[in-house]
Amino acid sequence: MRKTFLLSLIVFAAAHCGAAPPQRIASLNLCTDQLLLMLVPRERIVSVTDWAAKPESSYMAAAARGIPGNGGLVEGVLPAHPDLILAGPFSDATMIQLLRKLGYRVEVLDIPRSLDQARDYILRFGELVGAAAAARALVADMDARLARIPPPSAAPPLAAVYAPNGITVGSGTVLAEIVARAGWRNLGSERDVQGYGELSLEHLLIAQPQLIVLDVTAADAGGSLAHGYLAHPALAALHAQTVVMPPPLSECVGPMTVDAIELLAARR
Amino acid sequence: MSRHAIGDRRLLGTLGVLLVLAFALSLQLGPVALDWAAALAQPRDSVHGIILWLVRLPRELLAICVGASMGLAGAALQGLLRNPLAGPDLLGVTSCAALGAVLSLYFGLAALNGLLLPVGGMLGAGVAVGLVFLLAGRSASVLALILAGMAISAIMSSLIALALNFAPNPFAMSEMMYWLLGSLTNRSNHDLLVALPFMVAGWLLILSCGRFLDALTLGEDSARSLGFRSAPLRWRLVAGVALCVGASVSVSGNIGFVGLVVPHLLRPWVGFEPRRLLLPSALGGALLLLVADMAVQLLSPGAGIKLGVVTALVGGPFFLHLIYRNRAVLT
Repeated sequence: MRKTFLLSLIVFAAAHCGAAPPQRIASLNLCTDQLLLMLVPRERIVSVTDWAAKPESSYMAAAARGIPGNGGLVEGVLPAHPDLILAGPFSDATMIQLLRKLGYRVEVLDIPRSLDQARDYILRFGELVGAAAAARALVADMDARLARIPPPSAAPPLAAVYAPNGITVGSGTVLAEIVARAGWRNLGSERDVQGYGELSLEHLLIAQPQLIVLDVTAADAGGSLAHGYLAHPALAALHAQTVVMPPPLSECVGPMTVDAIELLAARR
Repeated sequence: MSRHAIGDRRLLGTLGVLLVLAFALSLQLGPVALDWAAALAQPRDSVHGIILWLVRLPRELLAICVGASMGLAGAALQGLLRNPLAGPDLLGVTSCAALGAVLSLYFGLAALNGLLLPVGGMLGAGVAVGLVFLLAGRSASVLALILAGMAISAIMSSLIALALNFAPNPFAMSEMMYWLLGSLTNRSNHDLLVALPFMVAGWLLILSCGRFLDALTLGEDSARSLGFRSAPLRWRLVAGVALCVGASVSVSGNIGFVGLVVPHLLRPWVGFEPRRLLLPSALGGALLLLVADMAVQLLSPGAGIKLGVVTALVGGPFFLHLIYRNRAVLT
């Protein structure tokens, strides 16, 4: 009886604190984790995904250290009684339904796919978590850094993105945008690849890119045939520059995207 | 010179010429049109040279070596077990080799030393041939041996799936098909170099047992009475098969049916003598796999179709035909 009362009190409290900025925020998505860590003081974050503290996947690994990981699970989220739960488009729909049924406020946020979308997204996100000023400052900082990237030359050099299994990227991917904004032509875009697509090793070689951007997702997780594509001796024989794109810079769109652009622009 | 020797030379010559032709043709095939002049004039400094020497040549040479290994191993096993339905894949040898290679690749051993990849494959193959051999040693029937091979295959395939499930690399599970069906996509001179020494050793071991295989056709006791020390020669054959099949599978996956089909197709040409069958089977296996790989490249220029799909489409119906023809022995 008493338990039920306590629970309903919590539910009531959770439902009625919409106006004040949320003080106990939980995140169920690596991208919302990272933006949350950038905008909100850590006292107001109760849990993030376990990926957020791992340097091989997260841009904000240092900031996330010490914040409880929720494993993306209901059991991981509930104990801290969050007053706002942030989820991504790929979060488990039944879990979100369950959390809402229990009276929690869950916001499902679409993930931006380009820098233009990221600007609006960050501002909206800032309002949602009660950090509008910080969000405006973050966007202004991104724009200032983007403005410092030297503009593309009249005849931009060619770059090719190469990922495990011989995959490259074309229009609609943030990696293609990173390559283009850094002042390179993107082989995938020129070959009319939509999203992610296969690029045979021979086609990559014959195009003779000056830069090969290796997308090394999970390269340190033991061997695989997929990663064998990136180690083919013919790639080394091409004598192109190679640069490894760290996954934390390319998995979400935001300030890390600007880091990635700076990384590739420096190779021109 | 005997009539046999002339016939054998003609057969080997024909297979050799076909192999060279297929090899030349296979180098011409690929996603991009090759500028041969540039490729030959500047093997290291032109992109065409890189494509020819570092992409196409290793792949086609690997097709030849893997095909030769499978053909030779098939002929050796059919002779050793005096069983027309034997083949490295049907006896579970290739699946077991694939398991060994999988454990070595995905759990970090191959990263320590590239040679540990074929070593894993050969250990797996050795375990399976040993098992089959022990079963056969107790004079198992043709049928019992094939069923045992099927059981070994099924167990090994499950263990491969299990190992890939537990592998730390997120791409591991999607590579299941490669290990079950085999492919030469994206193979490099590195793969060729780690596997070739073991394959050659296996070929030599098998080829050195030719006369013993001939004697075995008369039966175990007759072979012994002809002066062959049966046990060491049997183990030499087992080791030879384990070496060349294990090394092959570790760099190309489990490519089926080549070892079964090729010796059968060539047997009538060599008077049903196992020794005379060995070398033609090696050449025939190489030719078959090279042609199969060309078919793969023509049908799907990308990574698409697995090589084992083509060999199984050719070999599967052939196997059914063999079962039908041997139904008297099998029942």
